[in-house]
Amino acid sequence: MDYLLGDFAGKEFPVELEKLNTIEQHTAQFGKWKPNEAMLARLKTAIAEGRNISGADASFYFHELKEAELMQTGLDYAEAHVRALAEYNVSPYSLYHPEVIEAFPDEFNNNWRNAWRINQSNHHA
Amino acid sequence: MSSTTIGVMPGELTSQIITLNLSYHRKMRVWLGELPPLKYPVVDSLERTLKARRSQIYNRKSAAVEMLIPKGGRAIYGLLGAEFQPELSQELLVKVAVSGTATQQLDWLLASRLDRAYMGLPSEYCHGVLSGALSAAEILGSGLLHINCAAYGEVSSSPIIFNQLASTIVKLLASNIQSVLDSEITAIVEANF
Repeated sequence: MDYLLGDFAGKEFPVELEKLNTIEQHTAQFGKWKPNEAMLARLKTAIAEGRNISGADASFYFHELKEAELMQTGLDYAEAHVRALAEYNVSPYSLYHPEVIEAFPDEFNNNWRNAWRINQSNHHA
Repeated sequence: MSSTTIGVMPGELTSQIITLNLSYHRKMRVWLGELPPLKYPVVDSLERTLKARRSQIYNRKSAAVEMLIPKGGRAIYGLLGAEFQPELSQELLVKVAVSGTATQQLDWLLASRLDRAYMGLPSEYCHGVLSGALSAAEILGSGLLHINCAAYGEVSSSPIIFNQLASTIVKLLASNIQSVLDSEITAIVEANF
């Protein structure tokens, strides 16, 4: 799925605890949402296991950091979100891991499943 | 939570467009007594007939709700509108008008700055709409609830947002459109989102 991942395709990155805290604080301003909690749990697991991240985990991690930085300069959410996507040339569908999309089917439409080539037999047409 | 009324149709007591800035960066628009211009080509219709008490509503009513809910890695978006025609019967017919996916892209929707947003209601959202509207038999009573106004985002829409929008619209249709307050609308929204 490298075509979704822009600058992150084929690369791995370490997760830094301080940056993870920044992401948690940033996403908290939008209220609780289970797919975000699931993505944050994946990043925490990577730290705990001393693993690097790649793919959707890296896309979410760097996107949220950039979005947080831009919103702190005064941009509203929509502008910060669009600029953060452009910063790394990623698809908007790259920001949630396919396992998270599958875990919360009512939160994601078929375009997300198509982008990740997830079997749609268990979902409405 | 802050709220701002941006539009009341001149000389029209029963028609309002209200914009609300809600907590958690959420934005909402509500149309009461009219629907936004989102009549889309209908390719199918989903219908459900429910037993209902006789409606205590005496006039045709319409309402639409548009929600944009930022979540960080994505936003969640949907717009749904409906008309309710009360009838002297013991049934409520809920009709959901289904669009195709190749509908007109629009630039005036709340999601248009961060997603490709289109008029219409693709089939993948219709079951969520229908299940969200099932409370209408109890709340609105007998008649026809026609859900025929909608917009969606290519990335930002989901089945659950349309379920929540349908539930919200039913409650708004039951409210007194001439005197509904922003605080009442926000209370309805907070109960559904």
